[in-house]
Amino acid sequence: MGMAPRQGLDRLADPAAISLVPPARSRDEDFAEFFRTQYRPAVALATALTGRRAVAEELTQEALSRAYRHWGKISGYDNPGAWLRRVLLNLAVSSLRRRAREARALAGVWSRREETVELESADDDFWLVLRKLPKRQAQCLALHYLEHRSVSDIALVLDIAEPTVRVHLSRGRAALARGLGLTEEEQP
Amino acid sequence: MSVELHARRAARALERDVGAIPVPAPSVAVARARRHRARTVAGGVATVVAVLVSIVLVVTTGNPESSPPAPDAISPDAMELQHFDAVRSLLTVDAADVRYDREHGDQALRTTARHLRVQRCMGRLGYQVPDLLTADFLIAGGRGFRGFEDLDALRAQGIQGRLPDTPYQRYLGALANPGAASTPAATEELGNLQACGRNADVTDLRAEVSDVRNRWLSAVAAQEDEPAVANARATVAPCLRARGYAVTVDADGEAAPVTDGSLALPDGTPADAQARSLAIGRDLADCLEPLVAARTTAHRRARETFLAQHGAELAALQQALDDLVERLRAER
Repeated sequence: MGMAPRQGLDRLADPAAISLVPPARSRDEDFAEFFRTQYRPAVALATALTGRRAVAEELTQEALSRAYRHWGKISGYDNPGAWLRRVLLNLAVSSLRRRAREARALAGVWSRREETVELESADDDFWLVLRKLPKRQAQCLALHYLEHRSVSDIALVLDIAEPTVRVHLSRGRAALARGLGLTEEEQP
Repeated sequence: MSVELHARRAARALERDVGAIPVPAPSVAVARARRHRARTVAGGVATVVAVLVSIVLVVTTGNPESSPPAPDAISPDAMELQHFDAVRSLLTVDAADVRYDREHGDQALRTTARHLRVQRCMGRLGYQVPDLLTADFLIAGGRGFRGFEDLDALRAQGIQGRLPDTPYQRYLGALANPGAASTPAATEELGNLQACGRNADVTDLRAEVSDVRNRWLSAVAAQEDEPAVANARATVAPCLRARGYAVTVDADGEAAPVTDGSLALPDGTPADAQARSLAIGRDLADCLEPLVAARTTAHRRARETFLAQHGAELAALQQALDDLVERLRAER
């Protein structure tokens, strides 16, 4: 999997856009620019992984709030967006665990055993299937397909080795194909 | 269609979807960050403690007889849509207000309404659906800890904040041993539940409420610079250190002075899970007492100022929320 051109939502995080801003901005101005460029891509990523827009916005705001709290340090990073995504993905995992507990409680009302109660599932089947994959596979695939990130970028965001990312992507794609009901012949 | 095509289509749809949402002002994140700072030292310390303790504690199902009584325990009875006081809910000043907001605030209202809609929809399809739990419990996942302003709860419940002997606790215990296995009928039922859930959301007035709440949080955050509050805040870390906790001060100098996994438990902390939780809860409550008192005074004064400036706006919001409750009640 090579470097894919960045497009779509990631255009909002185009470093070139940031470079248009004059230097010597204040800390808050700097952060405001970061906030504006990262907000929608982050919401999209969180939506893909949680399935709920409202939750995604909440998580994004929390992640950005944490970024602000540590802005003095984070703003000096080569890629503050990677830091934000790592925090966001961790928050999404915590949120899913919490929701799973709630879902089990709800399911128990109807004497259910292990089914997932997904009360908001109006989004695309693709994301629905992706969210059922193991956590790391889902994260790798979301970063790849939604943000068009390369293997090295994904490795940076998730703080894991590139070969590991490749394995997750490969296995994740195979699982996606099965989940979407695609036959082997339909795979590229 | 290949996975790649599926992915491109799904990504485009999501991009379109998210591209339409308004991007809030960065001050939202700034206010949140300040709120984090304002809500403490205590928040940072106790969260860290809770994490540390949760590592070593054995999760128990809870023994109502051996648990201390929770002050003003929340009753997870049948859901009800209640009118609520917008000022008290949005402009929280003290522990009682925080409890009130959690139990009856706009988030509780929306969650309750949503589940009532699901319940009613399922009822129309012929399912015998018992009352669900109160919104507060669904939101909090059953944990009753109500904010670090609530020193009484902190002392009585410990930092784990479990609510003993509530129907909800018993309910969760029963869930640990579900009876019936899945069946095709159950699968169909689940599908119906999903369908009912899709149209159950209540988002009315969310933006208006958030706007007022965020402005209030900014006002509250400003109180952190008041000398009385700042002085009281400065006592928390030394107080905890004096009791044997290892506490460090945030390096950037502007966040809460105690953050980021910097708290270690003192020697002699009880090994027993509940005793440990209670001991830490009492220490934290004691050390937080001056800060909470200073904040309560400052926040009460700030609320008066806020009301003088935004009273009409709050009154309009209160009316709109009252109307929403009436409309939701009429749906039932």
